[in-house]
Amino acid sequence: MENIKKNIAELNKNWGPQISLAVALILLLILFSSTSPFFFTSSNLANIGLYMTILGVMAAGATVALIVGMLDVSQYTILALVGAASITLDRAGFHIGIVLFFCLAAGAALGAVNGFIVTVLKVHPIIGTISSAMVMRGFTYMITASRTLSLNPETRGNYFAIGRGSLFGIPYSLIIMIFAYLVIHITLKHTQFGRYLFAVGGNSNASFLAGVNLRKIRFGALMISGVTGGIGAFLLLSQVGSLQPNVGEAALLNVIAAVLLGGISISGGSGKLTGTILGVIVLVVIQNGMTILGIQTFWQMIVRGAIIIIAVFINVIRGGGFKY
Amino acid sequence: MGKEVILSLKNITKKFGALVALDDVSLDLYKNEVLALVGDNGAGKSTLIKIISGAIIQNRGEIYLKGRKVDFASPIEAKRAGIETVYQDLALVDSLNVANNLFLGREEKVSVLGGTLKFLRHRYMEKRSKEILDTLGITIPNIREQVKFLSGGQRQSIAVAKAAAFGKNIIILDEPTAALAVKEVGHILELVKKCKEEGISIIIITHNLEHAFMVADRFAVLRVGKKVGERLAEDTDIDEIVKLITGGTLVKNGKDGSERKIVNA
Ligand SMILES: Nc1ncnc2c1ncn2[C@@H]1O[C@H](COP(=O)(O)OP(=O)(O)O)[C@@H](O)[C@H]1O
Ligand SMILES: [Mg+2]
Repeated sequence: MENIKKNIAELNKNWGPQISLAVALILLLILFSSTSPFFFTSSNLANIGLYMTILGVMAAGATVALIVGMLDVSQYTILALVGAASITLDRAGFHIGIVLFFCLAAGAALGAVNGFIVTVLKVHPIIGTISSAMVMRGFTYMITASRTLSLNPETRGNYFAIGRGSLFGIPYSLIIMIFAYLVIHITLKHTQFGRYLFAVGGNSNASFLAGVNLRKIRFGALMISGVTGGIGAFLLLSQVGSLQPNVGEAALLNVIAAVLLGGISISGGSGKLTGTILGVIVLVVIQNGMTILGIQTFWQMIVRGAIIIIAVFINVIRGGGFKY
Repeated sequence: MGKEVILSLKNITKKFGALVALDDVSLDLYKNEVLALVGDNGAGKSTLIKIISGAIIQNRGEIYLKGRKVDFASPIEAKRAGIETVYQDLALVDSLNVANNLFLGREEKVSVLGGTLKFLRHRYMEKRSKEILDTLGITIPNIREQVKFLSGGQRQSIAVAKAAAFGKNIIILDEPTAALAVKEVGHILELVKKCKEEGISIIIITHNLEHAFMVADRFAVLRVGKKVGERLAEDTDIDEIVKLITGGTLVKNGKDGSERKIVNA
């Protein structure tokens, strides 16, 4: 009996958020499929799946930043700016391979700018990434002249082959996302950098005294977060083929909402990618379900905001809460 | 005791704004000795050992390790020089497990693809952690337990074990026995003796002079940032050290019968 209790406590400690999310997900699926005949159609599920990959990749990057105790709210703007620049490159005749490389490199570079703002100028991460996002959004409007940009009609087939294509029935987008999760998982669990992410997030002073270079770790985390924004840009172009300069502006906190929903502690030092991906799926299903049911946009905004508050509140109950 | 000086502090001064935490402190540490650094709260003990450990940097003065001038810009440089420190506020990461804490800052890695990628050697580090704790007679049931779930004594033991396992030249312990049960105190002091037997020099800060007398070869006393005295343990006693700490005047007979007078600094 004692043992069973202990095991349950242990299970809750390690997997609590994941279990509750899985249950919530099942309930949501039942709710939406019973209230709308369109929910469980293959085209809708494919729709959810594709959107999920973009959010999912960025959420994995945001998880890395949050493990060190930093909220990076600039990812969607990195996506917008890198996406706009990529379309410009494509229209200037650059090969898709070069554009892909550009997305990764530009994402890393913009993450490095965030890293500089936070670690060298010592601006608090939330303020730092909000302001850098404002600057980047400005550049996005400048590049696009405030219009929707589209890939060159001659070359966009190459992008759609990736964004809308699949291998043995598995969409390439999903494969890319899974690959990103694998790389980040291995980084977190099996490298010194990953260990230091947890250490610095858990107790930065102790980490410093143990010889960890705090600046390097925080810088690296924001770069990874930025790279995932760049990957998000490439996925968006490949799936949609065009980009509005205000993309993600309304969804700015979606990534954060998903990650917090996934039970990643806002105070740093812990976080599991399984929680992140479940948080992403639940959030995307809720949003898709609301859209399919024809719920008005303002209600959707209210629900989205409420989800963040609830997620953070649960976080606080579980012993998290703001620190940094 | 061999009189070989391992660490030499010359005229160390440290200011925090207008506050002079250390004022022209010079101090030698000999090879294979246990030096008790004592003084009232705020005397500057922690500040002094943080300077030796590279955690803070002095405003003035020099540090010589084995005769060579050193300038530690960060803790990692002091560690590389074989100086390990257990800080007063226990530098452990609560959310990491025991093995991760023991190896924090010196993780063992295996290189693949000619060193382009390096991965942590989880199993090796866990095995070594068990060995380290076993050798020092520390019992921790589960090496994978997060340290936040351990008792104060266990946490203290882990911090000391880390220093003992990796300190090649000097181990510094800041209040290692504070807030410990009697049995646990005995254990920590045993650890100090073990380290000394290994030929290592130890600086121990403690408020408990009885504990200090159980392990120390020598005493150095700080009072409001100044060094006010040094005594060999065999030439002094608790009363005299207390007088030095508090600044009271004391006239007493030394063990050899000679009269010695200690005056306010
Ligand atoms: N980081 C700091 N900033 C400002 N003052 C400090 C700092 N660290 C220590 N002090 C001050 O320096 C003096 C010496 O402190 P400390 O070395 O911790 O003393 P002890 O360890 O002997 O109790 C105290 O007056 C303390 O308040
Ligand atoms: Mg102190």
